[in-house]
Amino acid sequence: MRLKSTTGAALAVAALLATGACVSQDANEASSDSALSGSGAGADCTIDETVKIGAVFSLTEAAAFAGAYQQEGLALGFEELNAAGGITYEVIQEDDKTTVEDSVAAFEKLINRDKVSAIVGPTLSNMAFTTYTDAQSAGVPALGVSTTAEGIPEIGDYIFRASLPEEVALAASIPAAKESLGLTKVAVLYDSADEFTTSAFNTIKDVLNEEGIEIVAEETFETADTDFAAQLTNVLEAEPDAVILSALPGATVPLVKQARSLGIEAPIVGGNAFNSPVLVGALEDAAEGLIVGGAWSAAADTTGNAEFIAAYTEKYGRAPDQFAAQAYTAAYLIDQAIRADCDANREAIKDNLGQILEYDSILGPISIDEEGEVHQEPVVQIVRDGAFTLL
Amino acid sequence: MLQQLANGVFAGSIYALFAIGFTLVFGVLRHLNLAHPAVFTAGAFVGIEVAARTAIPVWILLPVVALFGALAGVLVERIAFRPLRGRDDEHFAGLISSVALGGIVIALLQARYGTEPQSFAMDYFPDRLFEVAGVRVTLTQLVTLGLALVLMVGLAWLVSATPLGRSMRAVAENPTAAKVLGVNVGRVTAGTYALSSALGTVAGALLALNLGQAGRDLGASIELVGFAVIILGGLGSLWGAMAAGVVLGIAEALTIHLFDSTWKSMVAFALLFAVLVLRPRGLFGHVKVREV
Repeated sequence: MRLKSTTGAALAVAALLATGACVSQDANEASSDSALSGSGAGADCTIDETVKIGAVFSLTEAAAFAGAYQQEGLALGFEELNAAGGITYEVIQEDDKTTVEDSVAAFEKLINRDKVSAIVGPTLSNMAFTTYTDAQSAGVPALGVSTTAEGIPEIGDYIFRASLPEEVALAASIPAAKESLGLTKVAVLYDSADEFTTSAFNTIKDVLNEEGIEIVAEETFETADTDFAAQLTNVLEAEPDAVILSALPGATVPLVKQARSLGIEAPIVGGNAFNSPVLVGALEDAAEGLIVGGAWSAAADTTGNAEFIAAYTEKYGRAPDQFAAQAYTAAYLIDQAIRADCDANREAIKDNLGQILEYDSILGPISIDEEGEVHQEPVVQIVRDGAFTLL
Repeated sequence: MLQQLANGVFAGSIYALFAIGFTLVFGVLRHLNLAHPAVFTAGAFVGIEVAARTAIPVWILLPVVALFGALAGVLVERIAFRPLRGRDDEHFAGLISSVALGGIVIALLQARYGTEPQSFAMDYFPDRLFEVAGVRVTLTQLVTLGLALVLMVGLAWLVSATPLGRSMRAVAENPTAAKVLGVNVGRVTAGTYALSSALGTVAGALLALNLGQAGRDLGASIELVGFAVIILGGLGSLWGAMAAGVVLGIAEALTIHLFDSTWKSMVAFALLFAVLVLRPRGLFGHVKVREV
């Protein structure tokens, strides 16, 4: 925590009070189950009782593009862990239909009825802000795999995330693109109706400033827009060296296609939304030269990545994307947290998730700090000959 | 600036195509068919699937899509409107049942195509870029605009100069009198829906071709603008819908050019509001609200 010294004392008192409140709440819950703590440690840990893990993803409606991959990635991760033995996991999957109401209902069910040890999800930060306060007050550890908005881990000590924020990904791709393409002036396009892309835009501006790159056009659109000809005309007239785009996947495909067909040939730099084989497939030739910052790359030589891609592709008949990779990693992170004390109770998982240090995952070495925030190196990729390659 | 005007005209031609199908049904039958956006979306998906399966060129594809649309239109009338005919709340009930039918259509699309957006293959309609007097236009945009004009003029001719058009105008004037005079009202109703939905599906397929992809929310994204176009043009007026589509398209493009996309909807709906206050019958509406 970064605190100013003047307010430090007051906040420390507040923090103490808050901790006290949590402890008494936990005592009320008293959900510790001795059957969930096993014998042995680390890789040799065995727990007799089946460990129930809840998963809440947007499997239908607006965010289904991500949720479906997350469900599959998470299921694959736990399947492998079950095969490895020692601990048996049961994933209880819920669909929040991309609405806050259903997300809250799903958390409620998993926490009170299914009595899960931990919850993975939800897909969108908008829902996490509500559901995570429920998880926090019930004392159930929650691990977000795509909840990248600012302020999520700050909700409480039971809240964690293994999802690289958009701004970190984009901030890494800009210097890389500058170095390889020699950018001096760029156009920035972003979705002004979405929190996630707007906050990324602010970071982009800062990074561009630091790098001494001039912004010659700054254009916005809204999440539901389908026609971008007017904005792209402004971009075209500004003649940028590159276009930096912060958009959700829904708008990305039509936007890039329209940009190419209107004659914008400059490279396009994007964030998490670009990081999907579906997107590259849908864009076909228009995808060539896209520069993408993200949490995971199919081309990265990280531990187990090739095996993950092979297993996923065989099981589901399509290549994984970043959402699948992050959810898959979440399964292993939870497993790590449980094996640390060989204890699958909510309290133990909460204590150990925040202690994960440089765990060697398919995303590369990944750490989660005590505040619940993820730390990992973003990867920067470029699309060449229809496939992602590291830049 | 000229480029932005051109952008507006292209966007507007799609709005107009969407809106004339909708306004035709209202003009003739006084039905507000809220399943129209779903049929529009279905047109895009069907177009993409037929193109992927058969690789037929676009000038055969669009008539195929129109045929599908005509069938869909007849079904919409049979399912959502005909069973309610003669009830006191016929119009209101039809509005609700068409909302329900629209929901069913979208659910069917999801069952068949999943939740991911579908796209035309990149090489399906190779796009070329033309530059005329400093304005860049793509071949797809030109085809869209040309087709929109042809379809609109064709529809206007059909309504004013053919026997079906005459029957439609008769039904619009007074269905009971038309029936007494020997007009087959059932057939005119079905024909109106078939025409309306054929236009809607073609507009959907054209929009998908322009955007590069279609999602299940394609219709919903244009629905509100489409309604604004209809009101702006004068409910039930074909020429009004065409003109208003272009006006709204240009207003949106200029807003983005001069201000920011955030203001786009505000300008569009402020325009709508102003027209409603200053000219309650819309730009082209006459004293008699209903016409074809």
